[in-house]
Amino acid sequence: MRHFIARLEPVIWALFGGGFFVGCLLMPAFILTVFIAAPLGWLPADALSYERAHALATNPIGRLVLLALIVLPFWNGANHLRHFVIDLRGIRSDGIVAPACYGAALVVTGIAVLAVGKL
Amino acid sequence: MGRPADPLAMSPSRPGRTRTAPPVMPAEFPAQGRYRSYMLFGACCVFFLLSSLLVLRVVDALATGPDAWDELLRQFRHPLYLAYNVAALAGFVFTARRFLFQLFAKSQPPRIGPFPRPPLAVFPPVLGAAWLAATALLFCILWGAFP
Repeated sequence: MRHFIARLEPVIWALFGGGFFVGCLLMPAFILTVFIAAPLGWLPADALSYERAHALATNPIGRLVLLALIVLPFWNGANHLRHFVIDLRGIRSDGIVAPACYGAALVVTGIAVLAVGKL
Repeated sequence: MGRPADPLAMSPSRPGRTRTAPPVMPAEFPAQGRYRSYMLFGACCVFFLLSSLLVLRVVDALATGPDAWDELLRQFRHPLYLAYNVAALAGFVFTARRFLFQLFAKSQPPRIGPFPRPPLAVFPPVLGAAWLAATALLFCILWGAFP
């Protein structure tokens, strides 16, 4: 398993870098509007009504943005968590942590593709 | 000096000809000096994991229908959700500041494809402008500024 993961490192680090960009460039505005302003009613009345939110999400660019907002930050978090645990607990923990992190990221990727495709 | 370091993580893969002292973790690790910022940066991975799952919930609610969407927005009004999202927003801004303005330029190779790397001083203003533009554009779209 260690050798298999080592061979995947270039792909994982590419997803890690992509996750940083998506997380840094898109996530703050998304959190501020969808997770904070919309529930508190700070947005104009129909800015994120179901009809408008659904129309934005089902647009091809909207689907791509939503997929990127789920998949890339999750891969980033999984890779970062793996190395955070190695820093704290040593390389011996990696035999369990790496497959768990990347396995979870694979599962979330599959679910995200299905969910965005179902929209 | 701090506690002994993990020898598997820090020793060379095979013994060299030069004798070396056993590896030892720095005294400031993990919560003092420059390691505090490094560990905070690492801990922000929790926000990346959880917030992407929240976006997945948004997609699921939109796919389910108007009632599920209204119910999700009602759930997001809970103080625990709001507290988490304010903390996550701070975490993402902290990560963006460190990644875009400190780490990214230093991690670039001397040549990017066929082109030489731009001067290091060019990266922060360009990335800062991209950050502001992307944030403002998404903010305006979601705020309803564009029909």
